[in-house]
Amino acid sequence: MTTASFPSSRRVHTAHRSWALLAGGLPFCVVLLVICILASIAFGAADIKPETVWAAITAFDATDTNHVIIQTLRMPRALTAALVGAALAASGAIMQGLTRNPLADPGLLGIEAGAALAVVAAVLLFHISSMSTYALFAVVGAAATSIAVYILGSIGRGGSTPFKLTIAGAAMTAMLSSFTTAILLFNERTLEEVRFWLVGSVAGRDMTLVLQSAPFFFVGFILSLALARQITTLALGDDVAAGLGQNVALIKSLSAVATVVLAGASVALAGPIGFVGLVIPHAVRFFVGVDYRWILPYSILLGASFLVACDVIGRVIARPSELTVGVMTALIGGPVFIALVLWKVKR
Amino acid sequence: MNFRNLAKRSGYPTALLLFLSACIAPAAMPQTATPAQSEVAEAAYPMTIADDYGDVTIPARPERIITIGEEINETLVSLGVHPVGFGSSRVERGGAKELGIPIGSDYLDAGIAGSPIFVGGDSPSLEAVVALQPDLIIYPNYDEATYKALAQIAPTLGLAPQGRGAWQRILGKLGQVLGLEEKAAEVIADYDARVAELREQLAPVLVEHPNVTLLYLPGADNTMVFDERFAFGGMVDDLGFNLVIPDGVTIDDSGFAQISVESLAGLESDAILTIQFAEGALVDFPVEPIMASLDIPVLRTVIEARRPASGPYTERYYLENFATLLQDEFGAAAE
Repeated sequence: MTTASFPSSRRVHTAHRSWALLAGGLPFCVVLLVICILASIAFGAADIKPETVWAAITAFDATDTNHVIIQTLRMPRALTAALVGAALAASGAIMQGLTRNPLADPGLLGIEAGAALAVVAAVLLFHISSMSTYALFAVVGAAATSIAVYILGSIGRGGSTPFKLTIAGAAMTAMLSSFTTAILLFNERTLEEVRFWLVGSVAGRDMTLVLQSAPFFFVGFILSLALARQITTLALGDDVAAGLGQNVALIKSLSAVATVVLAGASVALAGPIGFVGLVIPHAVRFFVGVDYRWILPYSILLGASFLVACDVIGRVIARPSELTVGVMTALIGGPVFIALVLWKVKR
Repeated sequence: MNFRNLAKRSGYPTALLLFLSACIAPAAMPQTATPAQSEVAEAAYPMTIADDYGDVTIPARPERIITIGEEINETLVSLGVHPVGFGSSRVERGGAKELGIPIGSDYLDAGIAGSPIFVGGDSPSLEAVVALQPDLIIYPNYDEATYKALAQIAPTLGLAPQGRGAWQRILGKLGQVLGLEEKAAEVIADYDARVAELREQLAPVLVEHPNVTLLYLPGADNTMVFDERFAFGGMVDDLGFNLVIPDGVTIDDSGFAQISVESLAGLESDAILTIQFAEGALVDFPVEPIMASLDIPVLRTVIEARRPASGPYTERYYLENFATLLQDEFGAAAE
């Protein structure tokens, strides 16, 4: 037996140190997220003193407008941004691992386009205007589109492959987006009502809606974390994963379910928000490597922090109006993504 | 008409359309219904009149008019003139047909509006326009390319319908073009008289409650505030009220600004007038709990999506609506 068959003591030591470093980084990410959420509650268009913020949380007075702003606007908004950011980053990471496509994000499977069409059609046909009804139709649209994409991507020999799913998703996205555009072109009022939802916004979501959607997010998070080891193997290729004894079809199906649940819940709560699912997993991979047991928890925490921070910046720089978070993620995420790509190209 | 030159300058499709339209017998076409115009001096034509794009020459008294947009259509029919054709994106998208009343008159009494032939949206079908053989097109200044295309078919007036006082300006131009200056002045005087009447009725209210904030709530996460430069704000201003803008909000020449609902904190106003699409408190709209905490009465006006933003009938409708809301809220106390 040669020494090459075993990891050297130096490599084992390095791996242990990396593991410790990576595990130690998670509490810092938690602290970062808490800071972002506190900033989201403290800052906004209205200038509210810290003691009033504290009083709004501990001794709520419904006749005090500042208390109402904290409790009914900022707290649900911060939680919405955190949940949606975490879910988009996690689903983006899974998509990239599952399809072995570095440009994959939740939009690739047509989930966002399906949700958008369902909401726009519902506004047109049923004149809905409440956020909870938007969410209901968005979930239905996202689920129906995912199933359609999966069926389309499974046609032919070999069943569903990453390539076929990507093509099916792209085709479905193009078709559904065209329908949405057609409806908006021919109905001015629909455009007026949903234009902020279509850009992606976390404003105006109440706590009831957040609590109603929270179980979907947590199921998605738990499922994705439970699949982390299998997705790492799957990212190496179906043959490798099968050779290592994995039930490839089952893992793919469960991963797809996790993606649909997370992305569907996100788009239901906040509308389609770009770049989070694309940029955050790339940035995380830059620091933690290719192991999804680290990529996923870091993506969840940093995705949450990123979206909350984007929302705070959007509220502060445009006071007393605000830039919707969907615009902010594009403004910040776009350049960051280009920088990441340039860095990879140079390497 | 020199079709070759026209084709060179504007493209063959338009020239072809015009050629085909010339083959249609004008006798078969309906005429623009106008009041007795014997007083109109034919000697006034050709008339050159300035619109938003420059000078337009009108060769003879118009008898076949096409209007684009409800605001302009409403202003024309207030002169007792019915267009032969009418274009509207609101009608095209929403469909007046579903209401079972003549196209283009879903917000007007059919007798006032007439029954013009529908020619499409704000960028109308050029074929439909040509087929009606108009001798005047009145177009809101939405898109210069559309204006130019229409101007190749017939003399076209491009007039902006947005902002306070827009319909009065348009009415003045139309009165001049049609020789109906007196009728135009009469419509404006009637409106002004109604404003003065309502203002007088509200005088006791104005003493105690002079400040009003005007909010437009088209969607849960879309809140706008109007000042007096926007048509709706102009009506509230006409009634004598001060329009209060939340602290820190600045409004440009458009007369409206999108705001964060947080900026309503600390609002000092006697009433909040809302313009919204549904009756009553708006479920899930984040502005609702904020307004509820302000201890300011909220007076709600429901608008129809297809109703125009301005015009002599429209502004009178909203003016009376606002006055009734304010009178009902504060009138008893003021008396």
